[in-house]
Amino acid sequence: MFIPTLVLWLLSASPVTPPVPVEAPPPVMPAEVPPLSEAVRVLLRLTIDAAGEVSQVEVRESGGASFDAAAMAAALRWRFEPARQGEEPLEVRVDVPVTFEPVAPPPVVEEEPAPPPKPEPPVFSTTVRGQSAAPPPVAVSDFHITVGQLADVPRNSATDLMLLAPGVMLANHGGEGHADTVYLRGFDAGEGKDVEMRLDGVPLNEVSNAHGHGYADTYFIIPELVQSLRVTEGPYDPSQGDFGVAGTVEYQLGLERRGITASASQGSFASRRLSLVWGPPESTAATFVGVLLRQGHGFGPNRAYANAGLMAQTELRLGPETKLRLFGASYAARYASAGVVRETDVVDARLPCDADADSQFFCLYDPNQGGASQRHIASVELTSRLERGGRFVQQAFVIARQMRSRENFTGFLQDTPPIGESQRGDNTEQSYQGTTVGLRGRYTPGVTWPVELGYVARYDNVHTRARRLRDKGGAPYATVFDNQVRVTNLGAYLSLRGAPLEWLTLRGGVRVDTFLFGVEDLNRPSEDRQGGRIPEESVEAYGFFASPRASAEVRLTPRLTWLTSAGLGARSSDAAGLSDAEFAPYARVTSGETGLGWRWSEGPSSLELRGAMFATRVSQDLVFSETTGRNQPIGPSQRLGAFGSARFTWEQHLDVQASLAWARATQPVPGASPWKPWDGAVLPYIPQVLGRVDASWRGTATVARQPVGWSVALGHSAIGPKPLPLDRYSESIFLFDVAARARWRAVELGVSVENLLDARWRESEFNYVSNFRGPDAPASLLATRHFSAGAPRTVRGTLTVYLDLQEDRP
Amino acid sequence: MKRCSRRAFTWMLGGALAAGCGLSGTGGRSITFRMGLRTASAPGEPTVDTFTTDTGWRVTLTTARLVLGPIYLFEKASPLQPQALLRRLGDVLLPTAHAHEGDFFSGGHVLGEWDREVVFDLLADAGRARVLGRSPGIAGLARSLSLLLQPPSSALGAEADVMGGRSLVLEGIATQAQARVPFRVAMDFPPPVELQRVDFVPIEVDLDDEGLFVLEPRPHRWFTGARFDRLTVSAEGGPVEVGPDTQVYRALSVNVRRFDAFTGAWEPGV
Repeated sequence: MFIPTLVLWLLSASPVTPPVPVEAPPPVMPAEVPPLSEAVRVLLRLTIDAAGEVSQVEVRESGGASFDAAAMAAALRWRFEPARQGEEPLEVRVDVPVTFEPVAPPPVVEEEPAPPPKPEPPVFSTTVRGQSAAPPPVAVSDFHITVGQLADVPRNSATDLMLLAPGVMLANHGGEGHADTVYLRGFDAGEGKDVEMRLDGVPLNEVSNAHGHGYADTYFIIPELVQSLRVTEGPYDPSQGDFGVAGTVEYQLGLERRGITASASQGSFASRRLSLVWGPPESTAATFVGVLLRQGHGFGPNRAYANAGLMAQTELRLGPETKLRLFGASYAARYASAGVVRETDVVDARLPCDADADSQFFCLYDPNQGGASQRHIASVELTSRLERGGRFVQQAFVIARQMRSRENFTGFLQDTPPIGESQRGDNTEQSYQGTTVGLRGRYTPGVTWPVELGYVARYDNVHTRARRLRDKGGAPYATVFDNQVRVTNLGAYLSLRGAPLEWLTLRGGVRVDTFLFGVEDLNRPSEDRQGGRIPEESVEAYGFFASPRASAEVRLTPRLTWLTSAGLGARSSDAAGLSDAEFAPYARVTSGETGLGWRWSEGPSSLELRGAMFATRVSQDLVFSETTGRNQPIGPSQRLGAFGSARFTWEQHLDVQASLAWARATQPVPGASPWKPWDGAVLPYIPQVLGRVDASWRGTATVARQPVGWSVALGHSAIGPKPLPLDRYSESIFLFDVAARARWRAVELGVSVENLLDARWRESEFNYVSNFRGPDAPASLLATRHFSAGAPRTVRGTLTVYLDLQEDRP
Repeated sequence: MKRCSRRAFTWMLGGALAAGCGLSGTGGRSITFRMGLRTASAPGEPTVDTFTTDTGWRVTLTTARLVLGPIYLFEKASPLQPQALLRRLGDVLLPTAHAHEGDFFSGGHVLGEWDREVVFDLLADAGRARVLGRSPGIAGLARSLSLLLQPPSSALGAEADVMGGRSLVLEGIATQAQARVPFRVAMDFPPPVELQRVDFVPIEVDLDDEGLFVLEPRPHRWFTGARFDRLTVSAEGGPVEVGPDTQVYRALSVNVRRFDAFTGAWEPGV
């Protein structure tokens, strides 16, 4: 369970020291412009990072293209003493006017020569935000979400941070350690098949995972180290790669607070959590170490879990223009799972638990369900700043991965036992292990060249296997598939940006991906019609896909923007399903959206509103099949939807984010027009209406003449009725999570309550045929409703200690 | 708070959801109907316990009990259903290709089922339907049914005592002219399930809410081809124990699992 441990900003009342220029050579007068008759002013907005470097420049008021370029080129060479709040360096935005003055006429009388013309030295007026500036969105649904104060809202894991984006619902049917199923923008994105997930550039989707192609587990990410997320809903950015069908989620790590933050919590169901994060005081937010230990009995039988994770990153400066980031993560987890239960058995109290309603609701059939997971990541990123303001970023990463999962969705239905024997059980063991190595990079020539070139090269060598396990003893008795998969993915993109009119910005690009699949099928028969044979077979396939993406941004007013975006995306094939020498098919997604964005900010307060409507069509969709335990193709699908979101921050006291999203996913009838994205049979299980509110309020009070910092936080999820098969809807779900904290000096006490109203809710629902009566009992063949129970009310107390370890200065 | 939130949410978003009717649009419609059993009379016979076989024997049953279930109602028609002449001719000229032998018949989706076993006394209710209970289903036309005949399992409890561990018990008297053969048959249907299943039973019922589906065993069909004259009647005149090595037993064993040993009827709800 998640206990936010970010520090209360007791220093919010402290004065902010603005950045001080250390080195600020003036811009060069553009050679191509005629002599000036009057002064030209360019207003720049600089983002000055915590190290005092200019990390971003944008033109707020143009003086003309030549003057803009000259001013921006100069600004990128400026150095500052960073802004500070107390002793802590801050990243700030600074508005800097740069004035180009005409050359003064030669003096007539005066004997002394006139001073050489030079631009007006910068005058600084600072606006402190305390958060990094995000690049402009490529679509209305391209969200750069700073976690900031919303870290106070109770969350179970870093996965739950995705709820900060509109239209996201998470569900877990596999236990604490199993990846969540992501519902995004009308997609049942599975555990990652339709949503690309990255951690600071390191890909997390696993090709041909036995549980599902694209499986991505983010449970290992330490929430305290997540600084922001970029959630791009839809395939609108050329940098989005494989699996970016519904969108892309990128976790961006950082630790603003320096020093040691140690946190221990204890709560319901014997849950314990211990975290330790450390940021050396003399380094930036990009240098940190975090350790997280979690364990507990879980909220019902067979739900125990234990896991440990470590993440560390160091940022090294290799010179004034180059920095190197070294990142590593290790994670190990084990968990048990209750799986799903039949609704009829719960109603009739037939499950092997006490007969009361609660015991039946949280009961299970097969205790041999659960899993284990290990992940190790190493990443190196080299960032070079180029002379004309360009950047060259190179990243190399290695991932070692192992997981094993055991799930039983159908009981005793799938097995065809030898004659005279009874069913041996449908428990399916899915295992996956292997290594991923890759390179990723991007190059921007300079601020005057609105071009970005990027590439990705990724090689996966994995062993993926599924076997059936005996109900008694758990020994494997049949192999469903057993593949050694090797996949090489090479991708490159070109992105352009232009502003043909003052109020119009166009962005566009194209991405090209190629895949080479090599599969060793280790589960072939040892005999065929022609006699004995080796029970293995090799398959190779190749695939290619080009995906153009474009957007148009119209500035209706200085604060109101109208953005229209369109793009193609793709999901690669599951190598396990390919034939030899096949031109590997892709699932193509075509998506478009249009909407408005409005932003107001004044000092540390801001309000941002967004709203858009979208349509998406996928050429070949996959839906989770409970009988096979994997995603299975269903043909094309389409979505139509809309969303609205708002985020309001008031100084450093209040932070509220709210969103409401609607999406309708349908399976078109064969031959139907692709221009009718509303027409067809509704896809079940995908929530159509989702609402979410995250809010945090921080303040200080005086208790016994001592300053005490406090915070209260609320998280609310409203999940509308989900369409279920047979024209039914599920029940609506309303969940409230609250937290409160108080800090005195270095000690903080907190309490959090998840599912405050103790709602009995179904986290996942499925409709299919199963037989849990036993190996000899007559099977039910009528599809019926199954569900996995959501967590009941969970209370947790947390003690946090902040150690700054700042050495006293003489 | 929860109720207020729910109400607000519903009001705000109700228009976005399926307009008015509350249907999700996923297709199909869930229903609840009743499942029942009733013994079918032979054509022209006033009672269920008496009938004449095709071999000319007049059979009067005094005991008839059967363990049956589960019962599945399928959407697809039985391949054994009588077809129009033209259709049959077409099938001969252009036979359907099957990918492999496992595809010879698939009933498609199950539209309704009674997923438990039951001990049914065929003579107890005098032609009235015995309602087993309510059953979930999917609205639509069911065109075939399938059921299992098997030894009573422990799940039946005391209800199965009367069966003495057997699947089917029949007692009665078969007469033809002067011949009189009292008999008793106790039959087992052990696994594998392929030998327990009665498939392809043709029906044509439009399943809907609150209706009653009645499965009708047709005992008069079970004795098709039975040659009671081949049984050896004891001198005392007591019932003949019809064993597995007899022609009557083999005929019964085959006939009880034939598609025409059962039928089904539908009584719409009111």
